[in-house]
Amino acid sequence: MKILRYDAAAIVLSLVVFILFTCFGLQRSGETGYLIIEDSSGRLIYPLSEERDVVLKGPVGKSHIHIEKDSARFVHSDCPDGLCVQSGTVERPGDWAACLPNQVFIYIGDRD
Amino acid sequence: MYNERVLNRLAMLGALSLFLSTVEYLFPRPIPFMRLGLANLPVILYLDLLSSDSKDSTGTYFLLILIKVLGQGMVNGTMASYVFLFSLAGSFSSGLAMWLAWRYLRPNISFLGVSVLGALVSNMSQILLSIVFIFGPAAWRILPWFLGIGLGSGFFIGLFARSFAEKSRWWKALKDSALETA
Amino acid sequence: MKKPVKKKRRPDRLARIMNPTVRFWTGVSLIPGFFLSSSLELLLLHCLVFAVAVVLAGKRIRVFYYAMMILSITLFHLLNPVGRVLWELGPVTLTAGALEQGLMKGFTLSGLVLLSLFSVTPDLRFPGRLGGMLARTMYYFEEILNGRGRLEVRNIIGSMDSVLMQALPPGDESVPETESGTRFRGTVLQFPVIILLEVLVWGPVVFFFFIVGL
Repeated sequence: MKILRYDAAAIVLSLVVFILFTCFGLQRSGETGYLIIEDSSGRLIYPLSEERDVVLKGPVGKSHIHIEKDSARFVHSDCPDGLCVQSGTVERPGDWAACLPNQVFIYIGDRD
Repeated sequence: MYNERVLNRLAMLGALSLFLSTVEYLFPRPIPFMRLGLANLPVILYLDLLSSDSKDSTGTYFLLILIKVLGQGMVNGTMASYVFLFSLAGSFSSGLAMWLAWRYLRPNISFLGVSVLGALVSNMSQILLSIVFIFGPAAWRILPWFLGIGLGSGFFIGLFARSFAEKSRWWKALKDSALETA
Repeated sequence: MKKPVKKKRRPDRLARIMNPTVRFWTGVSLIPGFFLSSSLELLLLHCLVFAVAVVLAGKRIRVFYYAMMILSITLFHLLNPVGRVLWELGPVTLTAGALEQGLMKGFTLSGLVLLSLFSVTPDLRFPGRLGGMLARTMYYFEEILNGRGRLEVRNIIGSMDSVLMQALPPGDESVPETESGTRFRGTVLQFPVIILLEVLVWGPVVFFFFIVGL
């Protein structure tokens, strides 16, 4: 089987691209952090990489959570104390915030 | 500009390409977008005619690719979908790559290298497009497999193209008739 | 000697009443309406409408093909969890949002394939030179299909040669007879069909637009 100079070059190029692609791909598929929300009905998961508004209903009313720039925070809640909004943003794995009256608990975690 | 014989020749190669593409559909496929590129065989063979003294030119080469893509869209019923657009992008970009390789790297490249190169460009472009538009980022993990199979089949199609060009009486007859008109 | 197998050709009922070009453009006109489907339910409705049209066109619906496609796209989307957690199976967390995204993508793609299956017919003539070329290509394609019984895997090149020499004669200069008589103009019956399709696809879209708009 005759293999000419650039035949071999093409094959080598393909193998190189294949290997690069595989490595890059493996890296790419596990990048973003996740916001995990636990409320009275169960759990929700959202990627931090996409800007989003999440509205949840609880015993005392609605809680608004905003996700942007790889972080999240309570924007508003119908609870009487407003401590959840005051606690600011959650960014790093393990950070958390909660609206206890409304039974909403948020924290940064992984896909689990 | 294009005489009947050239046009018929394009139509014949296009038809062969469609036939090979239906043959490809018979293979069991884990995911519907997996393509073996058998339909590229006539396109690769056509490069051989480009380099001879026949009336076939770069224009007819790309016209052949267009016919191949449109024909596949019509026969397989995928014309309206993303699949068709990806196929268009993949076929033209790989057609260009193969044409460049054949034009500038001959005689140090054969159908083998051309086919592998074509498969590389075609698969990479279609894979990237489908990650962005259809499957989402999770697909990055599985796609090396697609690429691997695509490259493997490109390799074997290249070998087959060489063998076919050498041994096929039909191909020889086609080439002879192409040279007659010159 | 091999007995020729007769393929059961199902009748294309739509072709009897619809002009191929009109049919094609009807299909094209449905595409934006299809893309504007805002919910999964509407998408499923549209797909159903298209599926019925495909059956009327006499083409077989390969359920396995669509199922695999929708399944694989949905599976990939499920790998990126979004929204309410429905189920946790080991490393994979199934979420409602990802499920919906995946199903919508999958059905959108299926719908498009179905749409092109019933709107594109072999009689469709592209305008100009390209149309002529495609017609010739289809002619030769039919010729190859007729001869394909003679192909053998053992002697692949040799058997290919024998089929190709007959189906695609090298040096053929005759223009294949592709214009078979008068072009079919379509009957009056095609208009109710077209209107029905447009209403079924655009109707709900417009309806929801007004509901949401108000």
